Amino acid sequence: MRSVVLLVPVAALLLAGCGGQPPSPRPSAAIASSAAPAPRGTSGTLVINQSGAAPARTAWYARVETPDAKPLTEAAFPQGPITLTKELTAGKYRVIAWHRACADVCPTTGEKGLGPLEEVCGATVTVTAGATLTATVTIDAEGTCAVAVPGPTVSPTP
Amino acid sequence: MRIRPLAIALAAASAIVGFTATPAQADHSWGSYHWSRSGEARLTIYSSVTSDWAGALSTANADWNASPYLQNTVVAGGTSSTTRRRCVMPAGAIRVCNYAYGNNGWAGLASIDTDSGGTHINQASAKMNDTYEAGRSAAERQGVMCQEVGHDFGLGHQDEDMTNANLGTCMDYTRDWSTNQHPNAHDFNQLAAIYGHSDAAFKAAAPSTTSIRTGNTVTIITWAS
Repeated sequence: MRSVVLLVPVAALLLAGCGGQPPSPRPSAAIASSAAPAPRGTSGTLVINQSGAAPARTAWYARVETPDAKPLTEAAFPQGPITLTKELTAGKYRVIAWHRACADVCPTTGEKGLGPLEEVCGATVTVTAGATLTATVTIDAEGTCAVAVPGPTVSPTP
Repeated sequence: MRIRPLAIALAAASAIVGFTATPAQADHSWGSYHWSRSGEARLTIYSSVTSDWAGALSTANADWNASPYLQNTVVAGGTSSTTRRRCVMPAGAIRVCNYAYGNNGWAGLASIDTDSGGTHINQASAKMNDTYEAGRSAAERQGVMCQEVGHDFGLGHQDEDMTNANLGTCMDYTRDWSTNQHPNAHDFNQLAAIYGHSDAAFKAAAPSTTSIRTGNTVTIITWAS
């Protein structure tokens, strides 16, 4: 079973991996986005970002889904911090983040070298029309995570 | 392998009658995942829980073994912090763990490994998050334990609205676990629908719960209330 094999630790020389904070964020690998654009006037902005440096050789993922677990958008961040912005119809959503261990350099495509899910965290967020809500995925050195959501902030009027 | 053909036949018939008589009770399988077996599933459940969870695991196992399709055994599985934190899935079996996994939003987490691209479960784990559950009522802890172990058999949630009336099953999200600590007849009917077939593909309902596939591993999440 592949997931078990991939849990075998790899040599420390393979530190050029992923998950840590690079000097400048690299583009994420988008996986899917199935949400229709939110109608103007009823939409808000959800920003997902990362706090804390992820352990080396971990690939991180973020998803936004509806309360009944329909994924709206999902993206992979194999080589950089989580950063995702999504326009959404006002309402409740769930923000989820998780990571997988990488046997070597985390791949930007495909499954090669990726282990199973190791940690996952999430929180329910409420997007308000005309407002920007920032959900922060806080990651510690062991790779555990938590999603923190402060109150909404109103976007400045153009 | 001890098989209970009469009980299984009755359960299958009951499942058919149940689904016909109560169409509002939708299919709540988790994907189409199931253990490959001949007759009833006889799984080993490795207990990697501390003593304060051991009773809940024992009760949950007895509850699920009321299904004629399950006859599982709980054995000691190591309770070191490392074992409980990692909760590595044992080949051909289930490991159940508790640990303070952190303020990550989930109360319980069930993971399964399947054959490549398939639906047969090869190994599984269930985690109880003490960060949320350590101080919760015995009823809630029993319900969460029952639910996570139930996921490892291929069951999803019956309902995910925490505020509606209890369905009388641990596979129902709730804020009042007093009447949701154990499986109900619909869970057993669902197990009959899953395991009452000849191991061919089982057609499942669309998932309505957070599920993450990573390679051959699939994880279902029970969010904390």
